[in-house]
Amino acid sequence: MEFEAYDEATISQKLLPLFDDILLQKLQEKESRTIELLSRHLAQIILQSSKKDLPALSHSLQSVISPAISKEIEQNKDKMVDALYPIMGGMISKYVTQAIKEMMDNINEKIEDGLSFDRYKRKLKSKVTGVSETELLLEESSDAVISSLFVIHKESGLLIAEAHLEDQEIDDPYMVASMASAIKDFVNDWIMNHDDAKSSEVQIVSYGNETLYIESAGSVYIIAFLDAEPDHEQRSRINEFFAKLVKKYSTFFQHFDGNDSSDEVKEISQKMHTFLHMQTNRKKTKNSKSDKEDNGKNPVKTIFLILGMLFFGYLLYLGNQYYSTYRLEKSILEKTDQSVHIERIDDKIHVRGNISSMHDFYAIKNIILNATGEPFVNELHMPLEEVDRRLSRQNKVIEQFEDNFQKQNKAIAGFENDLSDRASIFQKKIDLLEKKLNTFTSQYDKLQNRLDQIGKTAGVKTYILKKLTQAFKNSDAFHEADGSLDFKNRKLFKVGEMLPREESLNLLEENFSRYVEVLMGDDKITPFIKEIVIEGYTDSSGNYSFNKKLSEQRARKIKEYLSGLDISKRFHLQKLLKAKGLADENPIIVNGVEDQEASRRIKIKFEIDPKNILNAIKKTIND
Amino acid sequence: MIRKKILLIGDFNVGKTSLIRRYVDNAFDDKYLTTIGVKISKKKLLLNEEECELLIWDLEGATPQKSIPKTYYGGAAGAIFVGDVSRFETIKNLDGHIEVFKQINPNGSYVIAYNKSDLLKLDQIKSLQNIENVFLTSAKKDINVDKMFISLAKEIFND
Repeated sequence: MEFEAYDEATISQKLLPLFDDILLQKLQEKESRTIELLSRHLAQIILQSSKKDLPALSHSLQSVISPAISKEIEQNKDKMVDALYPIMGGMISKYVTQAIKEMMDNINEKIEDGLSFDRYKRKLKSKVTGVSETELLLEESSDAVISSLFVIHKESGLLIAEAHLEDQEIDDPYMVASMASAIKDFVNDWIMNHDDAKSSEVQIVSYGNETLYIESAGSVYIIAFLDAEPDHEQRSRINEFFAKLVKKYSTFFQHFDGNDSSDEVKEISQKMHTFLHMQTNRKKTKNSKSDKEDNGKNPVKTIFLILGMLFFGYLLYLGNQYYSTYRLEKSILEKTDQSVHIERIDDKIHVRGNISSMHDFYAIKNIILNATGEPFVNELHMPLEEVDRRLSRQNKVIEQFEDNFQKQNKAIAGFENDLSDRASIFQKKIDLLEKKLNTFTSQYDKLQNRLDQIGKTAGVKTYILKKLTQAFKNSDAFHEADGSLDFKNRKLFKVGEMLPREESLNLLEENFSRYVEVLMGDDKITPFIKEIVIEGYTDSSGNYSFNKKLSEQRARKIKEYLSGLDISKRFHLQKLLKAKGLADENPIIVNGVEDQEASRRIKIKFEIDPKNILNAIKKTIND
Repeated sequence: MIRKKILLIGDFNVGKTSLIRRYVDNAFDDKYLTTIGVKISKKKLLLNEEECELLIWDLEGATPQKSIPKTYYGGAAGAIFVGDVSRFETIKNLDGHIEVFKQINPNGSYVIAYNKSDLLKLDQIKSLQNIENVFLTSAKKDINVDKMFISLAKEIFND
């Protein structure tokens, strides 16, 4: 290599364009001397860069450091946790410990309230609701204050309306609303991408001493700024209020254009103010109530008060008892002229004194029952003569009753004997009737069988029609009304022709065979068939005599064709088949117009021999 | 007062945040940009003697490591798309950004800022001038920043 000059400066200048590539190559080869040389100056380079343009350096390092930390955590999780724990763990435990301490202090204070009404109330509430006393204490200790309310347009993050407690205004609420909206979107996006359960949207955001409760509905969401996390009851209140707003202003919210000077915005703000003030009123009421209860906190005072009230109640009770017994005694004296003493012992009425008769006793009993509705303990005395007199009167009544009873017994015994005799006579009569009934039943069964036979014979036409209907279930050629085969839809004959169209013969044969199989292949039908008639028809054009002749020719030609079939030979139909010409007697009319093609046709019918039916019935009766 | 949300969109290091600093009245701390990918600022304007306010969402450029929630784009009345004239790929990427914005806000207005225009030579500046909705801006030298924001605001509020 030759150089134009040998001084160091010139050589450096010449080599400078190649320096970057050489350095890069050295680094890629992990050349130890180059790395050692550079590492000595790396700290100096970073320091100088940070002085010159710190944001640019931070930005450059961020893209390297963030992935590096992520990777390190992923690969050496335990090591990283150990390294970070002294800082993070201390920080977390400091805040958690402080929060728990404050909460426990609050609870301890409440427990120390001792014999206050508050405690009794809580105990009672715990018993009634089944919620433990500690949980109720926790609930009391977690009351949060809502300092501000925001209603924010969900899509744009623009603040629609706001309300604050006095001296709790938020600086630049519109920017705060947008930022809160962004944070909410960010967290929701993170949840959607990282939470396997894809749980619901974020509702609580806490930072420092502030808690944001976020509830979303329709095109808006509400944010409540609180000093602690709201409990279930408080959330319900916020949600209920929010739901009312959304219901009333849903259209306005939907079309919100960023204009906060509309009447709706003022109305909504006013409603939110009212809601916040109701909250403070509620809190004040609660506090004043609790203050009042606090006055009774002194346990000795409380005990005396309770004892005093109990004593006063007892006196009232006694007074009432005395007055009611006095009134009863007075009433008895007035109505019966008997002086008795009434006293209530162990919640029962005791009546003492002397009375002159049982009549007085019943009178006293009624008076007490009417006045108190309860029975009494009888401690009344009556003179012995009166008792004896009543006893002898009762004895006479009992003797009379015994006499009557014996007489009745005798009468019943006689009646029993009579009944027994009559029963045996009836039993004999029943046995006789049963025998007669059995004889009648067997005769009835025989008659019933004969009647069935006659019925079946007489109903032969119905039977034939039923069988034919089954055989021609899917064919429109069969007419159930008269049991005929009618080929009106088969285009059998051209105009004036007596021979059928060649192509229609197969169909004719197939239908005829099925018809004959039913009539001639069943023992219950065949004996009654007199003949099978083939009727020829023409359309209504032309004169009658011509048509008559043509129809006869058509019937005859068809008969000749059918007679020649195997089935006709098998069942010996030659004598049974008859041909008949009926000219244009039965034209086919569709919507008031004759279908001449359909009118030119034949029909096949069966005729029953009534003589054969009568003979069969006679035979059945004679048997 | 009427308020509207606008977006500031562009690749990394094209100077979005510097443009904002030049223009806005109040802004959240920059740390939010790196934390949640957006920084919110505001600017009050007087248009046709009426006060109105822009809430500007400065969106961090998306990277393979970090994506921007699409919900940030929602409900925006307009957007400024920023490219760095010294890095051609940032100009080329503007089409993609505009497409996403128009998908979510079909009626949204927008302008384009070719930032760091102080680095351009005179003949380059001449060739890029007079293109509709395009502004050659420089946050460093305060060129066209106000003009661009006002132009977008007029389009949004006059609609």
